[in-house]
Amino acid sequence: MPINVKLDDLLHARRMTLTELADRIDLTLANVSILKTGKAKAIRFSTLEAICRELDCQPGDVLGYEPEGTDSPEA
Amino acid sequence: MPKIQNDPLLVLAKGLLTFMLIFIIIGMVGLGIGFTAVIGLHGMVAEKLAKAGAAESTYWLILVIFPLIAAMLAAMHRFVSTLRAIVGTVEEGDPFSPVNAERLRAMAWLSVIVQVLTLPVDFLSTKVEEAAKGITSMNIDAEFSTNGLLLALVLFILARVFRTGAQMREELEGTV
Repeated sequence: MPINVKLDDLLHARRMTLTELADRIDLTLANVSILKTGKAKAIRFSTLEAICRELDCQPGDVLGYEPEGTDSPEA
Repeated sequence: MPKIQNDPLLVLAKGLLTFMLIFIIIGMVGLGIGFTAVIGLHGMVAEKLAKAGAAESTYWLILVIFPLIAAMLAAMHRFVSTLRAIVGTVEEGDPFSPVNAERLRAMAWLSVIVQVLTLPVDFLSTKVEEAAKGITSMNIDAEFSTNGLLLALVLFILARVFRTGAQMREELEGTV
């Protein structure tokens, strides 16, 4: 999927664990993990709002768009 | 999804469908016995038919009716057991699955098959009933019904509803 979730970087920058974020946004660890690994098919605005609130960021900081077929900069 | 336990409707449906399955199996066994008897007592049956003035072909018509009815019963058995499996998934709290969509589609086709089979069974049984008049009171109640076709139509539509429902559920499952 060309949409990637940059939750890992945000959590690292804020020194926050996935479990802690899951507790704060009232989501199960399994669901946050699905989101982090890019396996989620959709994200609710309420979830996005909670993530932005807890990580003090903008939706654009959480989600990124990379057209299919483009090599990832890290690769 | 939460499992539905002791729901009166589901309990009644499962009980009724189990009863119907047993009833159909008994019917199939009876049909098998009848078929064997007609073949085993070929001479006697043919003689009685001849005495009643029936054509020689009547005996063969009787033989053809048996496998047709057996096919109808087999289709009905499959229909009921498939419906029972769907009721099971409702009980499990997971009815909107692609499997159930396929089951409903299969049930629709089975319903069509049963309706189509009623045509030759009805035709042949009328012939045999006329020929065997005076020997025995034979009564095969198999008539083409528009209700059966309507059932098939409803099931085809429901199959599509379930397929869409399953897709929606899959999407919802991937939503966080």
